[in-house]
Amino acid sequence: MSNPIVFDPHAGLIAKAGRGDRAAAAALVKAVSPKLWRISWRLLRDATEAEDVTQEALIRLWKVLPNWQMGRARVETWLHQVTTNLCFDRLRKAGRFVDEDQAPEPLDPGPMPDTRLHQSALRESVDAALAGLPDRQRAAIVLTHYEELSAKEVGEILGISVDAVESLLARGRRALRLALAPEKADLLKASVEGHAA
Amino acid sequence: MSIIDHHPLNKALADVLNHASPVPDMPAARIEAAAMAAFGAQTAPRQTWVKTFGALAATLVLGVGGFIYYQSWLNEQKALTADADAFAEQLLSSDLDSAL
Repeated sequence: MSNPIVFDPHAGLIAKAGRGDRAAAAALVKAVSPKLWRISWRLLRDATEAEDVTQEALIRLWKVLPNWQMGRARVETWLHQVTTNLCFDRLRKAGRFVDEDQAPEPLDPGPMPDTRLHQSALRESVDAALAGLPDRQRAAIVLTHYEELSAKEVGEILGISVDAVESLLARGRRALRLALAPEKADLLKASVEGHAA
Repeated sequence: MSIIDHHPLNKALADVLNHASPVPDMPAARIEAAAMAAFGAQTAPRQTWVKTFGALAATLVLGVGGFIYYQSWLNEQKALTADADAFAEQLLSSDLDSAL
């Protein structure tokens, strides 16, 4: 059975950039790079490394662009896959990659403290909770919840089935819920205040 | 479609976590400059190659075309000369002089 043709909103820019059009290439960079930056920063937690990964993903795009086959995949999905894999490679090289079977079971941190956490402490808690997730769980959380990609797209990016994505998300959310239980009220309050502001 | 797609809790969780720990601003100028420099490096050799090949191909087409045209013109001239010679021979061998 032949694969269905995939609609790509950037098809026009890809075609022009593939023919060497600089303006189209610049527009493509502007359109796709913010998301690549957010994904790589969320996965690596390091601005310098996230910048390197974003640039590397775009350089790889230029290499494949002349032979890009329209209708087979969305360029953004391909870029997200490249970005995620580059992040995983960097984490592995730095010995920071945590596989799921290596991750410790999340512990219930106990009762909520009496004092309300300040914003910086809250940020540290969220960062620590995300950083404590196994890397594929974190990638699934980042791609689904932060970037609002569909489970099918996340599955394509991570090279796993939709069921496996849902499983990663369920475990990731459970770990986050346990890790952030003491800050739950502060998180919700901060979010409500943020919306009201 | 998965049941998690477009679930309102997705957005709610992202909002809460994003607000608590926002992503720093992207160094857009540096990333765009590096990407466009790489794009220039990627496309420049191809464009040079295309121009060189294009010039060579045009020269070849003009050269071959010119040669073929010259050959056909030469053959035509030879044919005309042969026709004229044959006509002259015909005149000479006829009784035209005596008739005149």
